[in-house]
Amino acid sequence: MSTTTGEGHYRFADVVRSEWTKFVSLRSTRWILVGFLVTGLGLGITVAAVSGAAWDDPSAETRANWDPTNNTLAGLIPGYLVIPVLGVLMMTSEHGTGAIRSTLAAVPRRHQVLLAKALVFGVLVLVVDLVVTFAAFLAGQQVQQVVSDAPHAALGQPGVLRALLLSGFFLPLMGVFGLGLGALVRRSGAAVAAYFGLALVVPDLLLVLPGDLWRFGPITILANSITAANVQPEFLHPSQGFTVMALYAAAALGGGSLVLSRRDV
Amino acid sequence: MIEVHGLTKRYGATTAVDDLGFVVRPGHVTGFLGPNGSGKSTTLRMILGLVAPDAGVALIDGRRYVDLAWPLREVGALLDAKAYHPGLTAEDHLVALARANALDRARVAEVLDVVGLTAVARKRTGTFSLGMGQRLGIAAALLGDPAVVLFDEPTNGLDPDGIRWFRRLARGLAAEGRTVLLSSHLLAEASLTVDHLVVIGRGRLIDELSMAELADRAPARVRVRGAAGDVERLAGVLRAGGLAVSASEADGVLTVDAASTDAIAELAAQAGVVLRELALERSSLEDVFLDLTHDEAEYRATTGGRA
Repeated sequence: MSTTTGEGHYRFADVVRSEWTKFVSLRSTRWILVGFLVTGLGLGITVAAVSGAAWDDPSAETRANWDPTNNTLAGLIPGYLVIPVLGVLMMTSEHGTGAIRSTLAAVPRRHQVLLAKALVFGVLVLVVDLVVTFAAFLAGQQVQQVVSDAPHAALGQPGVLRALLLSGFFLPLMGVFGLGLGALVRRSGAAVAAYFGLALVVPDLLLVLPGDLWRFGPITILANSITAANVQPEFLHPSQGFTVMALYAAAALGGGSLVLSRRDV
Repeated sequence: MIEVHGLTKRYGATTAVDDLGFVVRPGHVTGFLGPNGSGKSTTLRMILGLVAPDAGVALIDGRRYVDLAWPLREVGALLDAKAYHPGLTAEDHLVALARANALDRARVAEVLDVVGLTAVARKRTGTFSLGMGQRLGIAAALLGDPAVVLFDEPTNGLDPDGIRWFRRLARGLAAEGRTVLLSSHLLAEASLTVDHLVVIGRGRLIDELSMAELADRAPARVRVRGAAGDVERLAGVLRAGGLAVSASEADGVLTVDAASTDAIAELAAQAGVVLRELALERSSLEDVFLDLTHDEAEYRATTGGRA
């Protein structure tokens, strides 16, 4: 029996280590991250090649909108569909299996559990996303030069590094958004449905509303602000778009933390 | 020591736990008994801070669970057999818990050995049987070497060997001076393990007593069998003697409540009735327990069709 229970108190770092162990030990999460790495790279290179090949005799509009950086970042779209779902499941699978009771019995200060999950998941996705983004960009530009004589992008050009870095941070934010949503909704099916509703249906609804609310749909921000080196004037500036995404993630995480802390398990 | 004061939990119009109070002391195995739906699990979850009470407080050595510095080193709990992620191995599950409270990694192998899961430590828990799940839950409860241990229906899914093993484990934990609380809806099973009882029904405390006190409450009955043909006369004689003859059966057996064998033998001798059998019977602990909880059972089959 522990007669000395050790000094102090369990720390946030202990909770992070615990969540790290769980996350990296799951076969499903490893496969999903590897799957995203492969499809993200593959799709980015493919879109770069296809769009480059279509350059032949471009219209004036095509020339004005030409953004070879954006073309190589198409691989973020499957990530936009998969990574937040992984975030949702990171929370809802614990509620669904009863594992949450083991977790919260070990860490009764519950907000620490959600924050630790956000940190572990966010950092892992950040690394994978940055790898996909930079690798797809570098490989995509090479491929595009081979298949066409369209102007290609280089890291030193205006807006390019910004687009790559913001793209690297986009999926971590979306993943944390999904995690927060999972803590808010708790049930896997309902939370995944809620994510697709917010991520895919709501942006379409915003399009038919008056005003410029449509500019705030996350997929619009992804496709036209964050991944763009050559930003068109009707869209949010990348820094604004990124701020909006960070607010979405913070709102979901804050709401999820409140629900996790207050509701019975 | 666990102290529960005025604990109350309502779900809508239903009061699951109603102003419940009891104390669980170290050095004993205390059984937390009550019928299904009587609020045992809800109470255990409130002790662990997983369910927030509407009123009252549960304290562990004077502190609320949420205020414990190292929860797993102070309290171990088996709540349900499936409180783990099915995609994790038994070892991963325990390592994750150990890290959350900065426990020595070596404890994982130790507790896996204690519960007999060493051979399947690297198997994913989704493949586990209910009994293996229980053992993993018990391993998790022991991980931090805690002074207070809670087990909710611990023998669910354990085979007879497993039940006997758990019994020894629980008694051993108490003998080491730990506070051990285990819930059960079966007294017959718990009676071999526990020495104290907290009995609840419909979320209310029915009684706190030791097993010895429970045994003393078992009312005595005398079983009497007369010679064939004499049964009705014997029943008449005993009733005339002021005894409560509760049942007259076809095979000639009478049951007499709260009487001494001496009184019955004398009455029979005076009337010249030959007795073939005269035996003092105590009703079983299970009967006493059912009497205690009968009125408070939440779910009870009604006889005679629809209620």
